[in-house]
Amino acid sequence: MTDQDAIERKRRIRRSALLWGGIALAFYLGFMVLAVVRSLR
Amino acid sequence: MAYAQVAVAHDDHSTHADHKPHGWRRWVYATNHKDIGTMYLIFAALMFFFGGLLAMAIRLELFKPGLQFFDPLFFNSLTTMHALLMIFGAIMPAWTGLANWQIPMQVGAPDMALPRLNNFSFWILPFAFILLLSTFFVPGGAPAGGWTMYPPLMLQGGASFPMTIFAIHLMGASSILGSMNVIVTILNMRAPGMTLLRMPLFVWSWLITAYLLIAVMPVLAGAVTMLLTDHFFGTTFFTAAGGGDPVMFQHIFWFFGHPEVYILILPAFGIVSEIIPTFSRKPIFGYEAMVYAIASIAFLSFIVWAHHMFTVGMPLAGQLFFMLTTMLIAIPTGVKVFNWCATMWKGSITFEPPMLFALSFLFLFTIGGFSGVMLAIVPADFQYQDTYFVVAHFHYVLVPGAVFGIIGGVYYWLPKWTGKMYDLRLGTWHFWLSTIFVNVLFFPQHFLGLAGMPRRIPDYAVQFTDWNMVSSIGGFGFGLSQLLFPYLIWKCIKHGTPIGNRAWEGAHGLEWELPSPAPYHSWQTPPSEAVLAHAAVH
Repeated sequence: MTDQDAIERKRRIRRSALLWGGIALAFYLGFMVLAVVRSLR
Repeated sequence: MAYAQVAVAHDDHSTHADHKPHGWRRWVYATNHKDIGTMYLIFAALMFFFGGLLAMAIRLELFKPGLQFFDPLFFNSLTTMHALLMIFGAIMPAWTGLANWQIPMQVGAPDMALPRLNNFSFWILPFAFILLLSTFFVPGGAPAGGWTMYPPLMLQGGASFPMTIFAIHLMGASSILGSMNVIVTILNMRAPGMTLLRMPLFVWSWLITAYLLIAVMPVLAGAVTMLLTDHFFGTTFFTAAGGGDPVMFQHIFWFFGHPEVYILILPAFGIVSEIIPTFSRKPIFGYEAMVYAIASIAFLSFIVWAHHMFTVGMPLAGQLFFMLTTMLIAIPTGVKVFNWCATMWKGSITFEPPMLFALSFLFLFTIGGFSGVMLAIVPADFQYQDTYFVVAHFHYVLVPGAVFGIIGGVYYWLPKWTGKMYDLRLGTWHFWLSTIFVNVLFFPQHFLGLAGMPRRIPDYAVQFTDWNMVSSIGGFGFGLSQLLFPYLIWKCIKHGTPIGNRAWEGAHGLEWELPSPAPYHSWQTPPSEAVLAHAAVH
């Protein structure tokens, strides 16, 4: 694996982690916010 | 002898690259996938034995009718804590441990994609379970409302209530972070040439499981947060007196709970799909069908949840929908069972401990599957609901299903992890004792349930005595026979026979191309196309 490949892979991992982490966080916070907002009604 | 016994000196070219940290720092600051995998597996084993002790206490109380040892509230705490420990503390961490150990080796990666996140997801767990276990010592005792935490019963809990909910949040966070790591690793760290449809089925099963976890753990978190606000902040999500609906909790809970059941079993499908081809010395029959079957089961798991609550009074159309979607699951599951049998057909089969546990899984998990189809039939379920038939059903799925899958996986890969072959005779003893006692333990519970014995009770009518005694004897036997497992592992590490790269002669997959024990960093140089072709699993 060349240095360029390693840098590209690092970039892909970061993008992928942000994507799936973002989706998980959005789900997690989404449900939490939903629960709290509904409780304030 | 069916395993390949090779002098270590000839093929151990791993040691020069193993610069591992030493002492406590190796474990507390661990970022290595094997170290973290080991910690997950040890943690899961501790929780398995503690949860097992609680199970034996339950069977002790149920040995005879009448109240012998525990008051009813404590008995309910025992059943609740047994379930929480086994599901969230034993089975799920054991799968994550196996994923940590195997996925990088199987896809040709040096480690997991996010090693520090990996450390964090593990180290959340001990704190979560210390918190949960400490509820035994608070006023009101440990949670006693069942692992399903249904309101209004759960809302009446004592000081344990917020502690349990916080512990569940921590476990959920740990699972979500672990799943992210698995997904990112599988999608980005595969060796060049390792396309998705060349991946071993264990990796596939974990990829799908990780998506399930990300989708449903937040739902559980939302549900328990609503319980928390109902208890402390005067909301009435689930309180009928304030316009809420306790049945809504059941819907939300089981929207998480049913996929959760598949989270517990799908990785076992992956492991059995690794073991059966190895010991049949044939490639898996219908590789792609196996992948699509796992994906179908995962998809269907989202649209069957209300079969857990047919008796709450739902419209007929709802009952029919959930009955039929539940029965649909039998189709992809049938595909898998057929393919496992077809893999063995005309194979050159040998019966080492991993294969024995996989075969036991195949027979006994199918029994659990059949009783699942029985429970899916609405009018029949009205009879079975909340009886010991349900207890028998899900224990057949989870013990000879998930737990035997984990044990089979450990027996399969232990030589790769330690570089040594374990005592096969002792492993065979472990298998026979486990398989006999698990049936003595759970099969009579079908009869008790059909005769009308309710679940989650410390006392019962005298006509249920005989089968309860049999079941309890099975429980004590099963519990004691599990002590062989850690002894066997210890004996393997201390006195095992050195083994070559490919511990089992029929084994395929990239992990078997690495030296045994596997080097500290797995594939620092990605495997070549020739190695990939040699390791091809189908």
